[in-house]
Amino acid sequence: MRVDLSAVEDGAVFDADLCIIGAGAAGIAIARDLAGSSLRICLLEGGAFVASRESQDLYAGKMLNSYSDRPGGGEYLTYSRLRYFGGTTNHWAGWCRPLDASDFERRSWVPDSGWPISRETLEPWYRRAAETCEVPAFADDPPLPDAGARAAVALDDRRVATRLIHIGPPTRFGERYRDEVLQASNIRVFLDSNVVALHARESGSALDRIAVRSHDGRRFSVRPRGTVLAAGGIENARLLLLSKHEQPEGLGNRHDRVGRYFMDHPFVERAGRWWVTAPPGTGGVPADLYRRHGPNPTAGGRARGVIVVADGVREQEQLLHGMVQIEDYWRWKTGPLDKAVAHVTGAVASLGSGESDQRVVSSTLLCVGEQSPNPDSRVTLAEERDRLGLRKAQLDWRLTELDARSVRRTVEIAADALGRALAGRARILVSKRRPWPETTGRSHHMGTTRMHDDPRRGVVDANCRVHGLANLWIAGSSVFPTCGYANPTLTLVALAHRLADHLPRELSA
Amino acid sequence: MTSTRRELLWTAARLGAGGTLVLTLGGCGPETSCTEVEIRLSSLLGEGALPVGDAYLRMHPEERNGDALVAALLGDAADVPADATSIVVEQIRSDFERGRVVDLHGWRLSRSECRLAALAALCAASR
Repeated sequence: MRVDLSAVEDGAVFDADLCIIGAGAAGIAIARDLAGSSLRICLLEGGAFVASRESQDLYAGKMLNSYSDRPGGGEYLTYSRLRYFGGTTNHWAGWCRPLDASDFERRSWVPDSGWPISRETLEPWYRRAAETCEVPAFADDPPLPDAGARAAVALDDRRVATRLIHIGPPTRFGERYRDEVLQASNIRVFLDSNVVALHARESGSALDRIAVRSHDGRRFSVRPRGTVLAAGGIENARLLLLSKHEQPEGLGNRHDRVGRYFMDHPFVERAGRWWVTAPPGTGGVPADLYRRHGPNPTAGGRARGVIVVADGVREQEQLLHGMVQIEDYWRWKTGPLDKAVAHVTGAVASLGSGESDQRVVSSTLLCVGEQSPNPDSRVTLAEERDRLGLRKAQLDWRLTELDARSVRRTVEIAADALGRALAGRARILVSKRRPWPETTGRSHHMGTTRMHDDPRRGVVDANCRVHGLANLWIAGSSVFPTCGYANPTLTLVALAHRLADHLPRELSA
Repeated sequence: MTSTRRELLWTAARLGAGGTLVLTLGGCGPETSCTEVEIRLSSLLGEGALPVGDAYLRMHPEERNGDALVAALLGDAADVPADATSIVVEQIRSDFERGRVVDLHGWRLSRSECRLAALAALCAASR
């Protein structure tokens, strides 16, 4: 049920078994799982059911570099997330894919890589997450049926592989699951309720009280037995850093890990131009399989194929993960050399296929890279304060040489695979000398409360509990130690479902 | 062309790719006409490929030699073999497999297809 804030007295205290801070993908997934349980739950959301300037402005912060800002598109900390019921799922595109098994493993050439859990561990919750995100469950990338007939290219060989991204409706968690959450008799939903501090007990070993302030200045508290912080990849860190009352370095920050290792997926929107050969009878630009929102050849619904570098090659060349997408919406200027390369592309394809007059069309390669964990890439607190008197988030998003090299090589290796398949020729546009700032992020905020068994190297343990605090857990992509290339929502929802299964046992103990 | 000369040219072409040796042992160039072998090979891609060939030769002037280009493309074959097309196509695939690629103003092309285009450019210039 929804709590009427106008009836809440200033200074009121609400007792609960569980408090969930944030009604985004993770918070709503947990609330749904625990709806109807014996737990008395408070769900705190800073926004309302619809967007408002008043709430969204509280996301404004300070960027210490500029490559994440979109020309004319506003400031990264504001445009990349939404602050109302449903969170950023209110504008996501619904792309879903689990992290690959290798993403969970430690890689010798990637510092701080490796999860304390495996893909196999998470598998049951990935299936539930697929239901929540309304996409078909993922198998182990089964062979693509009739790929040759369906697509201009279906690349799978020793050096590259094709992976499918399932495309959801996209599920707007706020709209889709609002009634379900509101109708749960054990859940009280507080809208326009901004958490301003997390107070620990004197011993510092557990969370005691959550201080909340509404947009109209009303103050109240929640005193829960357990708390899940699910406010997003930047706010999770910010709220911990702001909570200095009992621990001067911030809650859960004894080893100075909170806010560090911020990651987004570096994105190069025009990584390459591609002359693609068009098989007879197809629409040209790689029909179906790689097309944006094409039919899913393995499980129904919609999907798109992307090209990734094979595990063995990544290991050999010491590369991060990354995926190459193919799009046909860019219009390119075509000079004499470009035309000649198109001619060569078609001529060689004709020699290979025996079909004369092979048609060639223009397309674009985009690259979404994995960012390596970097302790210097971090969220801290700015000096400037927001309307609630809280220090704003300050983001120093830093990419490394490994990130840059990996993006470029991923595009090159994909281009060579396309060439080998006589499927086309690519012009690589990812610069060697100045790889950044030609990138932007994908608005995927990850890593700032990373998962690690060792409290000196991570903020939460394998069960997402904050090290050193008995009753505080974190949900969301801020717990990712590494980020792979896949969009993070499916994985963060899977982790949220896993946590929801874990919490009743913890809270009954 | 004798096998000895072919080997020399093949070596020259390979060394030349590194920019350390320039040979002009005849074959088609601006001042000579193309041989039958060169014409047959250069016709595989057609005239549309000439800007690629010109750009490649500007980048690798040491390969401005028809005999060397033929040797690089066909190896020890004494004449254009009947299956020259499939040999060339396989060589192009193999180039991409083994990293024998050329960065031509950003375009990532197989060295063999660049050499075919270069041969076409040399033959066109000799006409």
